[in-house]
Amino acid sequence: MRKKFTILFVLLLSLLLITGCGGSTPEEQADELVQNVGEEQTDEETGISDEEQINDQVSIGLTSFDTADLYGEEVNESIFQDYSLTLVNVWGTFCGPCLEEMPYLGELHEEYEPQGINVVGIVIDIQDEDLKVDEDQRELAKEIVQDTGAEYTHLVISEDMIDSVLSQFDAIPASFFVDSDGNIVSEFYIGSKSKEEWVDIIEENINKN
Amino acid sequence: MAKLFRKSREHLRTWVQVGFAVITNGYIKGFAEGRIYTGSSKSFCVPGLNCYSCPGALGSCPIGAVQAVLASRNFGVSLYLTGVFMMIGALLGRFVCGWLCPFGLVQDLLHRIPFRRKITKVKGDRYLRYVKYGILLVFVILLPMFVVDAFGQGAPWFCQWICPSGTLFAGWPLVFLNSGIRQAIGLLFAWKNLILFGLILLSIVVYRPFCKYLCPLGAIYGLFNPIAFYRFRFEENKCTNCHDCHTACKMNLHVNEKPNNMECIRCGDCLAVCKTKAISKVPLDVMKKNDIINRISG
Repeated sequence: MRKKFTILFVLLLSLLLITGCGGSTPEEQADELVQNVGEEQTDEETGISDEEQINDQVSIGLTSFDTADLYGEEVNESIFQDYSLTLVNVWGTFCGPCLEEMPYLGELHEEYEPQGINVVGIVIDIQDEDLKVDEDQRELAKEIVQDTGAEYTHLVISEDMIDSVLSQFDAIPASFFVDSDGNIVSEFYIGSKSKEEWVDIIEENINKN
Repeated sequence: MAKLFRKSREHLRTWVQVGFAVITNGYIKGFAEGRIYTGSSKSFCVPGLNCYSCPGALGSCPIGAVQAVLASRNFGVSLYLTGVFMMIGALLGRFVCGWLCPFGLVQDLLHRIPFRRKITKVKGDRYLRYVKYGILLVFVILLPMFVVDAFGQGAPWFCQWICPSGTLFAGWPLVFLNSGIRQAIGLLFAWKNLILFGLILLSIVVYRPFCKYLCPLGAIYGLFNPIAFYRFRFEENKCTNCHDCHTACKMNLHVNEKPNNMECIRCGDCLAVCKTKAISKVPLDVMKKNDIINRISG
């Protein structure tokens, strides 16, 4: 009888331990955001009739969005209009490989701006689940931008970006090119790259467009 | 008769291994799209060495999670994971290795492939068994914690440089199915595959070389074996010193001397083969005996 009690007690204790301490890291929150809306989008694409799709369809791209930069200034799709091509680089403060390539992107931004090519960053882990910016994380992101020399515009996430862009990939750093209207005109480039690799990619996309 | 019993137990174990691997990696959509599941169940760890990045994975790898927390600039030591290890270790010990780990299953299956010279006595075996504690200390704990970038962020050294389970269950499916990942592979992927294929070939000749010599998770659970809830009981008065248990033990253990060795993965081959039933598994076997005794005596 005592043995059965012991076993029951241990099982109950284990159940308590499984429920554990809550709270998620910024990475997990970012992941959750992308996942939740990402799943919605895929369902929309597969399960609905044509008429419904016209109303609910979310197009892939940054043709229409409303967000802010790291300093709180409002930014929308007009950020692309003065450039023939913009390289959009999605990164996170927790992501080592992202930080490794940011110095290169900073240099490339300066080198290619005269040619009408811009670089814009999107940082995905400085906001809570309601997309409110955490001030400590904002300071960290600013520090990273300054230290790596990636001193171009960096955007925070807005709701309209999640369906249209952020749900398209699982890993960062992820980069892609948009035209002056914000349409995506390249594949998604996943993974940290060297400066030489970036030059090749940029040149390839200039020639294509 | 003992052989039949051993065969049926071995088959049960294989089916549990397969079933558990399939259930905990049941996100079929991941395989269809070459993506990773990022839902809420991912915050829970599965007990075995099962990569978070396997397209089907519904949970995360405990060793991967440890490195992520230690490497993070925002967090220090994970109390949640320490609790998980202590709970699983205290309840099951290395039962996880024998019954619930997908990479253990792979090595088991590979070893069944016939080969003329299976090596049962590996040279330097005794010292090689300590390497896994070294890997645990250096690649899982110290390097992620102390080798950090200018912003205090470390890297998951074991996952990145060693883990063959990740290469097999996550690396290959993603490289195969996801074009973005495919263009990102380079020298590191080549190195990981050197390790993976080396272990695959070795597993045909030696039983579970990764579990014996390299696995940091097995190292952790092994520490709990001597005190775990699920354990083996050896009754010396029944032992005839025939050493059948030692012969049957694919981890090369002297079961009659140390039934709860830190190296034992609880496959149960020894207790199936013992003619006098000197080895039994606690608490189940002992419970049954106590019940009978209580009923007889009143």
